[in-house]
Amino acid sequence: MPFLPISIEHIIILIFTLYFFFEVLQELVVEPIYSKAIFWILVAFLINSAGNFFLFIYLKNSFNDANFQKQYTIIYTTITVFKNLLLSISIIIKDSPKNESDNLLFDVDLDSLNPYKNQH
Amino acid sequence: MFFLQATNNAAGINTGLFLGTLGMLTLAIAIVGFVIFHQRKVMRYNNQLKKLEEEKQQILLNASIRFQEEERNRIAADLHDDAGPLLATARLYLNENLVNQEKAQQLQSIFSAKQILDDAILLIRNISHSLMPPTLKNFGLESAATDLFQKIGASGSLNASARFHDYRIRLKVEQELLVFRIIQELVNNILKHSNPGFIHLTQNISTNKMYFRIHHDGIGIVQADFEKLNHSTQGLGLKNIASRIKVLNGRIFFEIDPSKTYYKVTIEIPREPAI
Repeated sequence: MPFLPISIEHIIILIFTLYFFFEVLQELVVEPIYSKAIFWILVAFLINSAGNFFLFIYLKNSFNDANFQKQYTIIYTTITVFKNLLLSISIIIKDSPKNESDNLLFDVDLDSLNPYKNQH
Repeated sequence: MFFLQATNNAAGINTGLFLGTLGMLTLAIAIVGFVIFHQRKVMRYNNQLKKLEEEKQQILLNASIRFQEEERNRIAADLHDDAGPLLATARLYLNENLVNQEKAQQLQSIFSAKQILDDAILLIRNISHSLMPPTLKNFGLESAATDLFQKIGASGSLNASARFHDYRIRLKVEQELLVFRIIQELVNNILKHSNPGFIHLTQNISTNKMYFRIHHDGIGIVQADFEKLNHSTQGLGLKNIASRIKVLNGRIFFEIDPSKTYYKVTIEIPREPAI
């Protein structure tokens, strides 16, 4: 089992996710971050990497331990379910609606107020 | 290594693994929570800032509309009350010529009508000059400001003077007009509210800025009063000054001299010489 590459992978994912959050905090905010799908995707990866981080570190020493394998299954499955739930949210979440002023809806039929409309 | 191997054999639970995973998850959730709350806080702050800015813009806009209306009313009143009766009288004199056929009387009424028409022309010229001083248009800000201060000084009730130290390179025509209007408004305010013994205007330049400073020894205001009046519904003239300063990309400072004997109003504008 390639423990080292997996651990490094998790660390990289953690660093990039944190970097994304840092960038989000820096820029001028117009809408809440949780209304964007990318946020939920990143939270899913963050939870997945953080939750499985110790699991993969322990895997090196306790690979053949039956108790460990039981715990591994419980933790890994729980975190995967949680991750998938978060990814589902990112799929369900809709883009925020367009600015209302872009498509104004008039209550009044303005054409009916045109006195010349019957002349054409 | 002890931490990595810490195992509760009786229960079959690896404490280190359990605590580590729990810790990492808590940390991850805390980071996400922090990001969300911090972002909400920033959003609230931005919204408040935007709202304040909008309110300020609204006040300035209202002030400028009110000022325009007042100006229109003034012009309408001048025309209606002064020019209207003069022209009506001239018409009466000319009308009399049609009724009265005597030559001597006809000449007399034509002469009177001419005099009244001369007065009307002078009056309309004065109204037009007060709207747009010809000196400013033809000879620039320096002449217009000097002219304005000379006229005030000529009244004899106070000393008024203007001195331009370095105005070899003129500002753009639009900038000159805005600066002149600001100076006019400030001088009007000082004359109306301050009861000064003297008013003095000076001009100077630095590398990329131009400064105008008005000194007066009346009852003045300081920057805090200006900001307060600018954000209230009062102080229409000051709001106009503020909006003109904004158009000029400049700044204005109201201060009292450390000697507490006179007030200073300094206008700072970026130099954009006329091409």
